[in-house]
Amino acid sequence: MMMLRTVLTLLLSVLLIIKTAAALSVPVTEYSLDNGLRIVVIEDHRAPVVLHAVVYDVGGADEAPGKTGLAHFFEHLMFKGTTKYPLGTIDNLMDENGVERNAFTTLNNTVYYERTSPALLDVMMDIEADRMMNLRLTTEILEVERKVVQEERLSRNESDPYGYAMEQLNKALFKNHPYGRPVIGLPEDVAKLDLSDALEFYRSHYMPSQAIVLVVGDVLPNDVYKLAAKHYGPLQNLVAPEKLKRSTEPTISTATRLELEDARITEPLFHRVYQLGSNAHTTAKKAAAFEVLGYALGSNWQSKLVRQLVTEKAIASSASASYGGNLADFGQFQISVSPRSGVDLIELEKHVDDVLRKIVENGVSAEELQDLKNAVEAATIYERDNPVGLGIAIGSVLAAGKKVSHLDAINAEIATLTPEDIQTAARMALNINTSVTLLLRPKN
Amino acid sequence: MIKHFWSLLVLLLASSFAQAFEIQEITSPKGIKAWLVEAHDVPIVSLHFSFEGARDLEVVGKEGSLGLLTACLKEGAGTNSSEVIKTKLAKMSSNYGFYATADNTMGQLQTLKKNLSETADLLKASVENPQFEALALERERDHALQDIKRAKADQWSIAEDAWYAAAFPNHLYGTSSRGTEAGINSVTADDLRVLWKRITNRRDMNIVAVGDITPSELAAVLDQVFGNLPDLKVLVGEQPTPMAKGPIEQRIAYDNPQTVVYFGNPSVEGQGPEGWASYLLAEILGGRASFARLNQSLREKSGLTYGVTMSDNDWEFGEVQYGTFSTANNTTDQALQVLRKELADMALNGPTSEELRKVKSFINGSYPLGFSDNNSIAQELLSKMQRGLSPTYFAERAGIINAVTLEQVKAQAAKLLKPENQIVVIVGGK
Repeated sequence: MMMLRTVLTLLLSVLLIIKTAAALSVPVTEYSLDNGLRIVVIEDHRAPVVLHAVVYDVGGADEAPGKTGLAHFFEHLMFKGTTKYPLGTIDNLMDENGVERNAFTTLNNTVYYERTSPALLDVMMDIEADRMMNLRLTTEILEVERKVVQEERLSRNESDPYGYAMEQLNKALFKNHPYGRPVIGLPEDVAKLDLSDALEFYRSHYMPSQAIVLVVGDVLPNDVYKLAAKHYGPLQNLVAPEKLKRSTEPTISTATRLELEDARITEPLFHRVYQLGSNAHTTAKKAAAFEVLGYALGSNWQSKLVRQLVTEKAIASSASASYGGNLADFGQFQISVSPRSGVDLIELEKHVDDVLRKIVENGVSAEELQDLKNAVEAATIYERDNPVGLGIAIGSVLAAGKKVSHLDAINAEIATLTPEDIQTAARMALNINTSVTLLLRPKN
Repeated sequence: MIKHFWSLLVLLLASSFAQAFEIQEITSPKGIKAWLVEAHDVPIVSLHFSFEGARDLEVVGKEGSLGLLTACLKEGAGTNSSEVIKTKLAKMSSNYGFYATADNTMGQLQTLKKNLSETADLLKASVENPQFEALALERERDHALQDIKRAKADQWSIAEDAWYAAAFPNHLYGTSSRGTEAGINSVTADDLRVLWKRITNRRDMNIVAVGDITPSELAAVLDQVFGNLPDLKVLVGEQPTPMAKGPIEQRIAYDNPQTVVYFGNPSVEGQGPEGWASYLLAEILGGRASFARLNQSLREKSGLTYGVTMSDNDWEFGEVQYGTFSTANNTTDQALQVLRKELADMALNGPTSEELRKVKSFINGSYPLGFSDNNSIAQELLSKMQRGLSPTYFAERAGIINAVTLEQVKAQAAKLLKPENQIVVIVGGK
């Protein structure tokens, strides 16, 4: 149970792909309450199921120095009960009805969600509204949960060489920026977090003005609005302290390399992440072009990295590339390639760089671009079959301070992209001086 | 009062769920049967299908050939080269693929409605006449060999493989579907062709379609893709086998700060009252509900693990319950003690009537949530079709579960969870 209640930094790139796909062709209705709480309703009447999610505008990047892991630790504590629903009651109510629920924390957001029958939406909102303001915590509860969180970190980091490597990569990519800290927290910080940290964090970030309620499924928008007004409407905002201002200056200006070895792995990995400047992905057109660049390089059989490295040169067993645009401060463009056995990573990297250099120099042909646009359009259709992914993706875009209409705009821009736009995007994104390259190898 | 309220909602949920989708039984002109759920809201189609038999049809000495086979079925087929097939699929944003479970060889196709016919043609060629092009076979062979190497170094895979080997020492279930290096290295394209011929027939197929497709369209696709397959019964190469006698405790040293534990015991065949009782037992002990005993004792009360799960598995040739968790090296013994105490207590006393009531309510409430997208619906329907269940099963399931008595679950707990049945593998601690 709750295995997924966790840190989802990697999800960001996945979400992005869904996101453009997401947009439109689904009815989206938005409301807001007087206390500032926003409500987004997406109708999907194919099955008698509803997803109810509360997306808070706080994540790992909002933690004060020395308090890493607090946002994620607190997410665990949100399941520990209120005056109205004492410890165990929420789980009991949800178990009784087979409600699927979970939560996750990213650098920018914390998300809680339930999937259940629309008949239970009323009760789900009552619970979420109650725990937004009335959580009850004790030191005893916190101490047990600290151990759970420490076990989670052991599983995801110390016991997982790939997880550890990604933490090191982020640290190098976002030097001296909160994005460089692990959402799950540094062990020395997590060991010290106490009840007053938790309560102060709660009072600072959990309130209606800092939340978006997302409802996806077999519901009517007006009914949802009435229920939301009933449960969330009476909630009063506390005084939110000013958010820590984060710098949006580039955090990297020279090509950085990380080479790690670990006895627990056997498959080497080439992974590179480029940082895109804070304004690089603010316009729909740029986001659209980066998105399509990801498709062009590494999403299917026709993608350049896959074709050239996996098929033609037969030096890689898999290759992928994608744009991540859901972080508030920076965009990212990432490339992952696994070599065939016996192929050295340095050799592989030369071939990767060769593919990248060519797309910067030559872009894509008009015919290729049309195929890419078709692929994005098809993804949009498939995505309509996955209302949960769609809902969470839209929620995270909204939480990043963008509007649903931004998604419309991205889709509209994709249709107008020219081969030159893709080349320009490649030139902007694939600048080695704003990247970290990770070579992960087995240790003999 | 509040309990009645919740139970009522669960009933409402279950009944609205049963009405939410209708399963049609389709028979094609050539006699191929399938279940269909029409869903015309989104112009996409999912087709899931399975053949009887899996690794039991591999030739001795060619262990791992089924994995290679399923990975290579698009690598040239009929008159189309691998290049042509993959380019066409990419251009249409369609896809199909194959994989194997413990007992079946499975396939899936997903396409936009407008590309159904052309995608089905490609699938037909893969089903009837795969080519196994040499370059692709070598790529997949390399991949399979890397996977074997990976599993030997990976803590969770080591634990899983060791547990199965201990539980089924004289059966295929005791060996990994990854196969052996010698087996993988010896496989030729001809071996794959022979194996595929042994697997593919239309007598024992199970097929489910979900999406924007009508009964007559589906009937045509069934004959188009599978109509030329022989109408023969597959000779399954395995016999039912009981799990090894316990107790067994195996410790494997592994250099990592956390230790991984696999634990389990025999179970019983699935669809009878005993099978349902053992399923509910595993859910009460280590299922997805928060009240599951192992979640409460190993996570919620003690913080010994991030997560513990247990499941009841009813395969064609054997049945097991097993569970897993990880914990810091220095808390492993404590966690094992807690585990043993819970298993012993459950064996002695069984669950409480309240636990049984709650788990029934949980399962009946959560089951409909798995039916919200085409692929999930197709997957769940196919698994029930494979077991020979009827389309009415989905409406009847809640009633079957509710009919299981406390005495039946207690009887299974006493029978299955005896200490002498337990097989435990512990990997870590170094």
